[in-house]
Amino acid sequence: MKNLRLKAARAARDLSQQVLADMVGVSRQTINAIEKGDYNPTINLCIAICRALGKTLDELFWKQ
Amino acid sequence: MVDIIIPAVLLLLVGGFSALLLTGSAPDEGKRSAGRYDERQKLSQGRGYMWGFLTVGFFTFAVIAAGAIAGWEILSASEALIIAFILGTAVNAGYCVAHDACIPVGGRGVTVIVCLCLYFLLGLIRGLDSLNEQGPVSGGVLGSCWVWFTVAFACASVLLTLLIRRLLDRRRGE
Repeated sequence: MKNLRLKAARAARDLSQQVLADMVGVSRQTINAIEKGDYNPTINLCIAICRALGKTLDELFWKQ
Repeated sequence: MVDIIIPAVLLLLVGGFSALLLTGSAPDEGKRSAGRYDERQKLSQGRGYMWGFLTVGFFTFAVIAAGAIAGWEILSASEALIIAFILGTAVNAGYCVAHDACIPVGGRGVTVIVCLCLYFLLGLIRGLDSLNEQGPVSGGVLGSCWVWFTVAFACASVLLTLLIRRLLDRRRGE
């Protein structure tokens, strides 16, 4: 399932996938895979992404 | 003449490969994670190893079964093992390339492409040389030139996968 909330949060901060990837220390393809729902990140990576985007885990990754 | 060219080409390839390893893989200072693989890439590499091991096992089993059941002795035992490992490595590399797990974060794909080209040329040159010396069949089984051609084929396959992947990645963008 696509993670549209992550994509929206990234777009809201006007960050490209590459910039976000550099901020959290992963490859651009990994960010792309997370947004497309092809890869489930570990909790460490989730936290790093949340910190980079200024969001909470619930806001970006909790499935309602 | 060939006796001079082959060692010279080998020396050039080994020297070039070493230089590339020393200079090309240097991490980018601007990125804190440069030069290492991220968690998704490591996961893909693990799956790549699995497919590589399965390829080695399947190929070895196929050669043994062909010899034992049908009586087709087409490869010597050592050649079969070497070719199995080359194919296994190629499958592993191909899987990693297809899943963007080949080049580390912040790494340059050019280094990998150049290395693959060098090994492709090495396999092709050595294979043709061996073909001229011994022919395609030696002692009732396939000659050693086929081991070198397998190296060239494996490198060409991985190189093609890498180039297609990069092309698709560029077209797709974000």
